Amino acid sequence: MRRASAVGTLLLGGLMLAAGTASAQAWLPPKGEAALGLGWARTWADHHIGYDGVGGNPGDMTWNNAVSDLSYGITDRLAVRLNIPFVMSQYVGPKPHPARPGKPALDTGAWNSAFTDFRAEVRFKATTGALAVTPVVAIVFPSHWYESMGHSAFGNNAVEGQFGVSVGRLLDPVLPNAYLQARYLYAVPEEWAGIRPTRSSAAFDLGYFVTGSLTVSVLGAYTKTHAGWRAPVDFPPATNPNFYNHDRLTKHEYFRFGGGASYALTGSIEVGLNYYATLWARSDINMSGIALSVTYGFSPAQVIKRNKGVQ
Amino acid sequence: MTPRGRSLLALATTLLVPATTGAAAAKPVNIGQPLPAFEATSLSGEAFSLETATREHKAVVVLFTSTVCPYANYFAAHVRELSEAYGPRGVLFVGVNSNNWESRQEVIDHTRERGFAFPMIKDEGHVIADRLGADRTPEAFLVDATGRLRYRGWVKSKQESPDLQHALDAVLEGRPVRRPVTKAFGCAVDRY
Repeated sequence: MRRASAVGTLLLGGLMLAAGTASAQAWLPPKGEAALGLGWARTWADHHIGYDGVGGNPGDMTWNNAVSDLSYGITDRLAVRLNIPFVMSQYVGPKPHPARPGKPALDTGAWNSAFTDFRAEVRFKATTGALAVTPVVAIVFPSHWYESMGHSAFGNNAVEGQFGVSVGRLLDPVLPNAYLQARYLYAVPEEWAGIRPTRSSAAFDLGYFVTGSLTVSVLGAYTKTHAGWRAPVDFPPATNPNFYNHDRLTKHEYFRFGGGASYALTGSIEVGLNYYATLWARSDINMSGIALSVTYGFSPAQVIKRNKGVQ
Repeated sequence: MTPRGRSLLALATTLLVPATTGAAAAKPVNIGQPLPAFEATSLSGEAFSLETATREHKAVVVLFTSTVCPYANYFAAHVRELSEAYGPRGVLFVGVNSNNWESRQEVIDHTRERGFAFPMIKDEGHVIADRLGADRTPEAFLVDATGRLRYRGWVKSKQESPDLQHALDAVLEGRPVRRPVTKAFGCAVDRY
C-alpha cells in the first residue's frame, strides 16, 4: 500500500484534548473569568485505511501532544480562547517517508518534537434561554515552519480559518442531570497544488453529572474533507514535488468515538480523562488516543484586587 | 417601600458584628445535619440570627457572594429572581460577603447595583465562612425550617442547571432534594 496520511487526524486529537481542557463549548465563561488548561494526549495508530476501506500496516505511529489553553470571558456572551500544542512524535516501521529535500527525515524511529499551530477562537453566545447556541470563528496559524509530511508528521503546517456553531442543552426533564452539546465546524485551509481541502467536522458530547463533582461523557466526532486526494490512489509519485503535500491534501473521512470523565478537585481545579478510538475511516488511519487535562479557573480582577487590598 | 427603595435604605448600614468567634474553617456539615447558627448585623442595620430566621421561614438560603467574582456576578440576576419569587413562599435569602479585601462600602454599592433586596452581611474576619466551611463564591447553603442543611453547592452549574432552585422546590414540597451536594465553583472565599 502506498503511504497514506496521518497528519490531519492530529487535528481531531487536538480537538478532543481541547474538549477536556476547557469548559463546555456551547456555554461560555462569564465576564472576567479566565481558565488555564494544561493537557497531555497520547495518540497512536498502526494501520492506514485506504479510500476503499482496505487497510495496511506500515508500522507504529505515536504522538504525545502537550497543549496549553487559555480562555477568557470578555462579556457574559463573548469569549476568546488561545491554545498551542507541542507535539512529540515517533514512527517505527519498515516503510518510512523519504526526507523532504534539504530537511531532516522524520520517520527514523527516533522521537521528534515541535510546537505546531496557534489556534485563536472567538465564541459568541447568541441565546439566553435553555438552548445555548454559540457561533464560533477561529484561525489556525503555524508557530513556525515544521514538517507536515510523514507517518509521524506534527500537523498540517497551514493557515486555516474555521467557522461553526455549538449548541448545548440540559436534558431535563427527559434525562435529569444530563446535557448534550454538539458542534459543527467548517474549515478553510490555504491552498496547495491548486486544491483547497476544505472540511466539515461535527462532534458531540453527551454528559451526565454522576455527582456534584464527577461528570462522565460520551464523545463522538465525524470529519469529512471535501476536496483532495484519495489515499493512496491519487497520491503523486515521490518524484513529483507535490508528493510532499500528499499528507495535507488527503481527503480524510472518519468517525471516532469515545468517552471521558471530569472531576472537580476544588471549585477552581478540574481534571479530565478522555479516551477515543476510530470506528470507521477512509483515507485515514486507525487512530486511538487518551487525553489527560487539568483546568484552573480564576478571576484576574480578583487576583489584582486581592493584591491591592481594600482601598 | 419598593424593593429598590429598601435597597437604597440598605446603604445606611452598620458594620457586621459577628456573634460567633470560631476562627478555623469548620468541616463541611453533612446534609441533614443542623447548620451551625450565627448571628450578625446586616448592612441595613438589622439584627440577623440564623436560628430565628429558620424558625420564622420555611427555608433559608445563606449565599456567599463577592463584588468582583465573575460567576457570583453572572448568577446575581438569577439569585435576585429566586429571592423575589420564593420570598412570598416563605424563603429568606441572606447574602454573606467574607472576602477580606472587599470593603463594606463596596458590598453596599454592589448590593444596590444588583438589586438585592435581601439582608446582606459583611463577614469581617470571615467568621461565618469559617463556621460554615464556605469555600467559594457563589456558594449556597439551604436550610429548612428545622435548621437542617438540605442543599449545599452552586447556584447553577456551568451548563446552567438550576440546582438551587430545584432544591428549594423540593424543600417546599416536602420531597428529598435530588442532588443535595454540588461542587461550588467560582472564586475562593478570600481569607488573606
